[in-house]
Amino acid sequence: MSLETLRHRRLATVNAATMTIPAVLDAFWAVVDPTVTTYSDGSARAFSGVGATGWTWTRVQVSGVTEALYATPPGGTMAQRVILAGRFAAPAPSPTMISPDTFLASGLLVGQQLSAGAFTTWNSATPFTNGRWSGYTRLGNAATTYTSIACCVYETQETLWVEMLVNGASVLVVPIGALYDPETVSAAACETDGRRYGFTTSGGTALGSNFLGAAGTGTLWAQGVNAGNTHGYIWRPGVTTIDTVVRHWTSTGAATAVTQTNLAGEFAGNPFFMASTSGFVGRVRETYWGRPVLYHQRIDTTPGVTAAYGIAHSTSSATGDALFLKY
Amino acid sequence: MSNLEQIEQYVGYYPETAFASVPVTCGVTQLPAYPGVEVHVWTEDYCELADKTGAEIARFKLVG
Repeated sequence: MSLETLRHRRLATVNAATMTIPAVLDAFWAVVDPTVTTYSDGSARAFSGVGATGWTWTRVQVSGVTEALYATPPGGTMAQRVILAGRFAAPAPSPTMISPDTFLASGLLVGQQLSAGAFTTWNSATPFTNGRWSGYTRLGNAATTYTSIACCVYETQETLWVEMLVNGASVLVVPIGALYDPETVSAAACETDGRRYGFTTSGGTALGSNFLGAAGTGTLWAQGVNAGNTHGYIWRPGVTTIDTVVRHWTSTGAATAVTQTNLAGEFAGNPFFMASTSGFVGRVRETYWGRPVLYHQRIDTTPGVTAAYGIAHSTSSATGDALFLKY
Repeated sequence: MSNLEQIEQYVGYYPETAFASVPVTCGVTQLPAYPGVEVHVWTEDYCELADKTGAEIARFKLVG
């Protein structure tokens, strides 16, 4: 039996005021601030109760300068947390990165905690006291290398999609959270809540037009061997070990509007599945391979999906690979 | 990539490395590509690189 259906809600996009990492984090803070009570479509942002999608975010500042944000989901039993962080130079101690990423001065770092205890500091080896801390991966290059950065977050009950549009044209994204439904309750194959957790980053290179069909830089759910590449990580259930993703889909990608639209003009949303280096993981929850769309385009007639947001590689060209996130 | 390959890749990123502390569970006790780096095994689940003065350079977690 499948897990609870995730419902994606997009918060309003906020532009970084300057090309510095504190400004980027402050822009994300303006996006996710707990005082924001509506999503970009006007729907209510609830922080508790059945089906609530609003995560509770906390800003971490040092001498008035923002160095991190961390987020707590509205529900769940795994005490999940997500941190966005960054600094102009590595602090002491150095933040723990996840192989093969390295600390990038003025770069955005993203990491995940399971079984969280109390928050300590973002650059501690155990930011939430407990040892199930992933370490940080990177999203994008140094903020100082861009001319503009538009920050956006999609929230669901159990996952986040953290997105930046840089230089007005290039999309960088990290989906993170309880992303996978193993479609089993066998203890060895899932966490105690029946889910599988992890994240994948497009890395330093923006999404390409073939970001699902290709598996190199500028894609998702692929594991590049160098720092700053596309990476994908999945927690092994119940332990501190993290495996890397293994794609087992067989497609060249390059979906077209014709092949992803039925004869009634309805848009298909094909589910897809993920494996890791230690075994099959599960279905990517409420995320579908769909017809080409534009950055931030909303699709409202998807069979089986009802309505969805598109994750796309371009603001101007509705060609190439795209993902639908169920509304 | 094996644990050894991941650790050696980081030492390559940080050539000033003189000491590498690595998890006992990773099975790595020496770095053949960097024989000058002293490997110390510890019970933490992350790796730490330090320079010849003992100052920490970087921390990272290995992946499966």
